[in-house]
Amino acid sequence: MTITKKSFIQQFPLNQDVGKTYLSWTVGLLSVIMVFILTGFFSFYDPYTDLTSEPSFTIEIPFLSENPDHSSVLVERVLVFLKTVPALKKIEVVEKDDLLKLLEPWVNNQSNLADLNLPVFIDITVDNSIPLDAKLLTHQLRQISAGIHVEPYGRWKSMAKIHHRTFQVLALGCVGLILSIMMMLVSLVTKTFLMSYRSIVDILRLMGAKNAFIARQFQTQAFTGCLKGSFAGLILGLIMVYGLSILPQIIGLPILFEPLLRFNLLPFFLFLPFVTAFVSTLVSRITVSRLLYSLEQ
Amino acid sequence: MPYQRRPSVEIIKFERVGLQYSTGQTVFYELSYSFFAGTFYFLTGPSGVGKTSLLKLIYRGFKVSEGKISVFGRDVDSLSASELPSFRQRMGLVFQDCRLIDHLSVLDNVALALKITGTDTRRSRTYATELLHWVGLGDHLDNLPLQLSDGQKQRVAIARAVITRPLLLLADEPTGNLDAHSAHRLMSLFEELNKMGTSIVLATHNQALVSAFPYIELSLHQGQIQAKPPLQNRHPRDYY
Repeated sequence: MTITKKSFIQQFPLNQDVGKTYLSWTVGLLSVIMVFILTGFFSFYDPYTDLTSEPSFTIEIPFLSENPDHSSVLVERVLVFLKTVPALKKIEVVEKDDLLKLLEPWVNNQSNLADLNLPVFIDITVDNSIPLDAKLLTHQLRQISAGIHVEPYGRWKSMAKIHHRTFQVLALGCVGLILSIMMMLVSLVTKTFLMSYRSIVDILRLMGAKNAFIARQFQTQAFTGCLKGSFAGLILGLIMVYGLSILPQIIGLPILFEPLLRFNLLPFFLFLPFVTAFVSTLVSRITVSRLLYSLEQ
Repeated sequence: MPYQRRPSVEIIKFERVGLQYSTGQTVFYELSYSFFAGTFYFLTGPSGVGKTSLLKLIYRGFKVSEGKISVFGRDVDSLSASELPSFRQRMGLVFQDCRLIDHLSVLDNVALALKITGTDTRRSRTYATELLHWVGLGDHLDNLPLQLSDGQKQRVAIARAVITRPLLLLADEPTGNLDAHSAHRLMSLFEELNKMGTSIVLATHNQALVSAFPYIELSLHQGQIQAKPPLQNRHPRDYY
């Protein structure tokens, strides 16, 4: 027999209990969901940061079908005018190829794309330090051509801001919900363990074991179970997210979903299993202490 | 002031103690008695008279309904939840059903009692090995309790109860399931412990066993203790 070869005494036979495996698997599954939510959160966060940098407008110059040559002249005139406006920091004509790329997913027959008569878009960025009268700018541009349309981004930005906040709150809410479920799960499993081994608990208490001594093994089980499950879930989740991000390229679908998986976020993700394990340890300790206290009364 | 082991010191003191079960049955009423340190007591009486309840009152398995019990100079009822473990570490408990932990080896069952007091695993196992040799179980260190006979299990339970060198040993029907020879062997162990200074309260309904040993007999009758002094010229051989 090799029972005494172990360097520690396990007063509860938790290693042989299926509850431990159940805990790891469930925590793993919840971690996968958490990785999805957090990846979405970070993917959404970055474009918003670009949007909020400085006020900008897009000037749309319609395609003149009756006189196509005049369109390019019109663009030149607009550009010359814009260069005279001191408040403009950046003037950039959107390339036709870039527009076509944006349209690609929505057009079935790709050969028709080149024949499309597209308006010309000019993105302008305003210098924050110099005031710009947007109405006057629109008026002046319409004097060049009545069909010119100026689209301010302020409205879109405010909408994006609302959507961003909503998504942020929902994402954090979901993460909080998942952590709560994990905590409830750990508490439930610990209570089940404790009640299953009630006879051993009673013996230990009669031998003078302190609550901390009795709780220690449950804490260790919660820590290792959650750490293993959480790590497995994290790795699986990251692989799945990466797979989903490259799948459209592999099977030739338009990119509709592109999570941002960057290396600078890796420490954050690697930190998650430890947070989960630490919280689980605390929950386990509190559960055992509360239950033992109620038994003592 | 810390308790010190002296023959004349009261180790347990019952003062007008009453105990009533939740069913309304009164077990003890106005019970007063003092147990002295270093003494061996037999607690006798027929089944159901309250022997186990009296022991439970001492280690605070039950709380008194009225009156006061002092153990090691402390009012047992006033002990807080945090004080209770260290209070129980100063006494050893032996039960009729042994209450060993089935998945642990004999050695670890005994070593665990030391580990609870803060001794490291290695030293706990070393002391437990020595003690198990002393109780005659040196060849069964790695056995599980299920592989032992009733007498062997009781010896493990005693080893577990005394490994921490308790001031007080409470034994509830430890010889209940044993034949006369095994019972005598256990009694020899208890006597050895008592000689080393441990106070012993041994509850039993085995009158033959009590008659064979020269110790104070406390007979429980109608919720009161009647002390009978030990008879002279008794010898254990009279028992078996």
